[in-house]
Amino acid sequence: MKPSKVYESLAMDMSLADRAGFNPYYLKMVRGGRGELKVDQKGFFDLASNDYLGLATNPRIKAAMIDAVNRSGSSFCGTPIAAGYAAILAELESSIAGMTGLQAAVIFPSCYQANSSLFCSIADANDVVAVDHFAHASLIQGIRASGARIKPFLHNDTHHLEKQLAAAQSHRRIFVVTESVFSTEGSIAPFDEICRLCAQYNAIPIVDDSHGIGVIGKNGRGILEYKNIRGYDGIYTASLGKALANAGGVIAGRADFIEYLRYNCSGLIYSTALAPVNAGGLLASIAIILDEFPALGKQMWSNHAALVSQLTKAGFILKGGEAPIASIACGSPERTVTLAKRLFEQGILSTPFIPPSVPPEQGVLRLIIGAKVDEAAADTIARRIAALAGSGAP
Amino acid sequence: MSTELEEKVIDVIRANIENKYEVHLHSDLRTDLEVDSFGAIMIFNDLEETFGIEIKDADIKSIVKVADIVHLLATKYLQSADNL
Repeated sequence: MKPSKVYESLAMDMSLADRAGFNPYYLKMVRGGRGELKVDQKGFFDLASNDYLGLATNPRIKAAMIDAVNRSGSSFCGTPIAAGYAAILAELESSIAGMTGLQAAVIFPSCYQANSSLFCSIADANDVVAVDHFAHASLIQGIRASGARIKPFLHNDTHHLEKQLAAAQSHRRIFVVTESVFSTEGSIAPFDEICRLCAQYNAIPIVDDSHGIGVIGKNGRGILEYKNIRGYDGIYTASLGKALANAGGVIAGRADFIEYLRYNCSGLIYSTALAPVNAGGLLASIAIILDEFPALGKQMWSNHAALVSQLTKAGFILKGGEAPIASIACGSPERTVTLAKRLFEQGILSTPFIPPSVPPEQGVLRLIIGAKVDEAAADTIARRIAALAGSGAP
Repeated sequence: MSTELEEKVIDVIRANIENKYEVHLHSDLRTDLEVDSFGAIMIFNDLEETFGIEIKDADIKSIVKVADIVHLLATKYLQSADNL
């Protein structure tokens, strides 16, 4: 095929955005005040980002990041296994292990990289990976790349999972993969029951707690605290760019397994280490969460309850998950993007999910208010949503 | 009147879809049953285990409706009634 034809075949179909008269993706944003962003110099309430606790503008975190740069420079310009393992990264690993109650942790440049490279280090064609139907693309890509037999199970359906586990017993290693909080709809995995099934069927549980760490659990420590799981013997991954308001990813678990990954996970070994600036900020984020989660969590849940109440009054159909995520069921991609446009016109940024991120005709518009705004701003948001009454239900 | 194979295929699909829609021979997997590519893996994994067969990826790509699965199994994978 000629190069021109190759690029022609790879061109993005923008017809949906053209029909809606709005492209909700790749908006160029500038940070405003707390919970506010600017697009083309116009102010918006940020109900799109995953900054659940409103830490992205926290002065203590910004100061910690500046201090980390002053002490360690912009980068160690190396991979962790060579010259890139800064002392501050080791400190961060200990801090995250302590927060989650696990033996050890290792830091990746992103959670996508952690998830997508994990499976090639632990599984091959002799093994089976059972995975929740709605698991994140990074997990699915990683499982597929490993060559392991992939066995999806119905979303959060432990009966269906048990059937997959019973049928997989002849394989060498068995892993069960799920997210803690499914971010498109806010549902939470029955992870205590999943761990029980794993013990019964000799499988190793793997949970991605990206939308759980800093969000759920009495002290914001994530899914293991939320489900009161003690002595967790599985594998734990999480993004550090959501409630922790920074960048990077982590894999945590048994100390001997984490040591194995340090020498066997190509996504770690061959990537430049996370910059000290991020590690410094994350240490401050974790300290704030451990100190202040009761107050921050209370604000997050209060704002979320008010948002859900207003959306329901306005006639929107919500997915009804347990997490502080309000997801409006929209149906078709056209309806989903059109509603995002209506909210945009009201000065509210949201996140539309359309296929292939969600199944066909199951478009979702996600709103995360978290503790990003105070009560006065939450009231303003509620009034703007009320103005959309009757315009969003499929 | 539906055959035993048709009933078995419909049962397998019903057990592997997120939404509990009615499943018929004329149901389109994607548009009627909202089956995505990952959901299709669930269905074909279960069909393989139910019938003790291994279905080639190339054969799956041409499947649109439930009836296509029944036809594929009947003509290519289940010539012997022992599989039913």
